[in-house]
Amino acid sequence: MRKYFYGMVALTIVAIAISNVSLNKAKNSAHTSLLNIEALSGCEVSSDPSKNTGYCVKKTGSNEDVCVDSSSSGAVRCSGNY
Amino acid sequence: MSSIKINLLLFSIVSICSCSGNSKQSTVENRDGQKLYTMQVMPYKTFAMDDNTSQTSAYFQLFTIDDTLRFTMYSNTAVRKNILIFDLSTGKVVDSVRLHKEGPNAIYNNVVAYYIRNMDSIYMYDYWQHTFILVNRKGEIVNRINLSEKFLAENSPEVTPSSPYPCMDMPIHRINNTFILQGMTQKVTDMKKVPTVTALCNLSDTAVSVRFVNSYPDIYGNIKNLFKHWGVFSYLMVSYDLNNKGEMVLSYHADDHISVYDIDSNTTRRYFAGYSKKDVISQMNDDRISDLLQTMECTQYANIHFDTYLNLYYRFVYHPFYDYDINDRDTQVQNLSIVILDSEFNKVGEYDLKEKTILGRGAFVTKEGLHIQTLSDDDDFMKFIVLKPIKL
Repeated sequence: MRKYFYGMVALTIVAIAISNVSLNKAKNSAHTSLLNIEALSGCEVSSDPSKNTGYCVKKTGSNEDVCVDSSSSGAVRCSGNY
Repeated sequence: MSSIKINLLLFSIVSICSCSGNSKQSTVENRDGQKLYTMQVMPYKTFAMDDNTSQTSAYFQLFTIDDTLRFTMYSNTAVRKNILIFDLSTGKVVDSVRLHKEGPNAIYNNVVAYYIRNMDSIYMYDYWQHTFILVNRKGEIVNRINLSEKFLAENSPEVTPSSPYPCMDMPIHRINNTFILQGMTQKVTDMKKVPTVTALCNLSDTAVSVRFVNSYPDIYGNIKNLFKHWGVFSYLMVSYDLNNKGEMVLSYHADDHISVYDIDSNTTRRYFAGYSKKDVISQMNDDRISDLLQTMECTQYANIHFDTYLNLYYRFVYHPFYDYDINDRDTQVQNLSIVILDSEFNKVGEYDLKEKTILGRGAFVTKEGLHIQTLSDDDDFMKFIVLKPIKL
């Protein structure tokens, strides 16, 4: 009976941990798409993909998003500022 | 035995941490410095906006025009584009340069900053094309100086050229014919080349040249991974100001030390200029969610301003903040403190602001004190927190 009880507690903790991981992934995907929409507000995106050589990033300490020539790979691509 | 194994299993379940990578902290023991100064909060300073001017601007800077120090601001709205010139005392517009949105004198939106040499010699800077566009008081383009070839990595044998993005904490300064453009490095493709953040542009009538200087300190780690591990405006762009000796004083956002670069001798000195509590600095994981987490949940140094009236320096530091909504930018604001240094770069004070601001990149110094932009509830005004240093 005691072994059964400890086993159930352990399984419960593992299940909670797994569901937290899934929740964070889902939250992150939703947040990523929201951030994609916001990030385009200050950056120009060309209809010609070859011109989108820049990366749209938040300019900290301001309310702007701007297009820069280098960034981490996760940034939305852009062709300058609008 | 089986109960011991289960107990071990229970204790081995740990929470997942979203910040990873190396944490680096200063080894400086006396982070407090001397406690000689604090800041006194003065009444807000405001500048009057008309119906066609937004209180948030991409660029503003103080210039001496016709022997008078003026607050100038770049206004770019759907209706018009101009440089507004304000009386510092009254906060009212006294002059403006109307820029053209289209036609042969058009100033496009990749122009992000300017330098007023005089009212007929205004150097607008197009950061995307690496081009200075010289306009007169009527907004007519009188010259273009295209530097894009100078910024090509293949034309620079020993350094990776910088990628300038002038803004309020990285203003365009000038010494004689040399214009200082500040930003971050371009992406490093050749590990033998030193990455640089400053472009010194000599625009004399006879010849145009660009010299790239100022690399990153060790805390930034392997130069191959700069853009993988550090956010662009949060850590890779390097704030600076010019002091009254013609030295660039650089504030690297991940570093509790500052660098002082002498343009003439091409030498650099380093000084501790950090907050009293130990920094929390972590590299990110090369994705946009980690970029936000790094910005919000780590220490971030920012602006540095030289007070020519009192011979003091003011360095901004933002502190880790966790109680924010990942979906709401208005909540993504850290608490701000000011580290105060004397003319020899000794730490002589520290001040924690009570008021938060999302516009802290915009700041300047007058004899009235340090002005830090904050959002005004009234769109008819641009508003600044004013802090005046006082001796303890």
